[in-house]
Amino acid sequence: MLILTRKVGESIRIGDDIEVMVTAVDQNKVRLGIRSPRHIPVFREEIYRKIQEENREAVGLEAGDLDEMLSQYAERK
Amino acid sequence: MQIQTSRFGLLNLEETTFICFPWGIPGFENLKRYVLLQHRDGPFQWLQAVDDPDVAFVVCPPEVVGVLYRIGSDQGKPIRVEKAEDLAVFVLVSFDRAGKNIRAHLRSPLLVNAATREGYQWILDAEDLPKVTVPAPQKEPGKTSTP
Repeated sequence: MLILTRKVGESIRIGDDIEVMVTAVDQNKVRLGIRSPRHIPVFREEIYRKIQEENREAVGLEAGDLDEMLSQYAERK
Repeated sequence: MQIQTSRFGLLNLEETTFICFPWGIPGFENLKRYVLLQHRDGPFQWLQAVDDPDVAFVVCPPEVVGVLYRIGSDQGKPIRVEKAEDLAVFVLVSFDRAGKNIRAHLRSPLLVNAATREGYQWILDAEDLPKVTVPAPQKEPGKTSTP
């Protein structure tokens, strides 16, 4: 992993189209501004990981589960 | 094109119906092509991966679980949505077998550009999470047959 030291207002460039700027530093918090092409989604790592896990769980669903879901669904209606 | 699926057997599908997820779906980043299959008379659909027989998500329109998303134009940009009516939204649904609970994955809806058949999973920040407006799901009439 490349490790760099930056001051507030300084940036890092990834390729020619992604810029990561340090906008503020608090005691244990760093605020970053990210400028990237509009077609690249940017996510917080821990949220991305959580979504990965949720998605992997979601794939465990079988057609039978869905039928059971539908029957519940009909009951609630 | 013939597609092998573990849940629905061998399917013969038109490639023009495929939906491309250029970044994949988190957890399945290497799978880019999916196809939507109707389950019975709705409102749920399967989002089946074209290139992995075992990977299929259950999705439904957010209205079904009583949710409306406020979607800005920024959210359409990754999939180059030009007209609002081209944007289709789906929420993933999972089922807790023990508790017999249906769970909608509200934080991470799928956005699809219906015109270009491109999609991605939008991950909302906690403060953007929608409020569930309807406690019980609303049934919608189905369109096509069961896969």
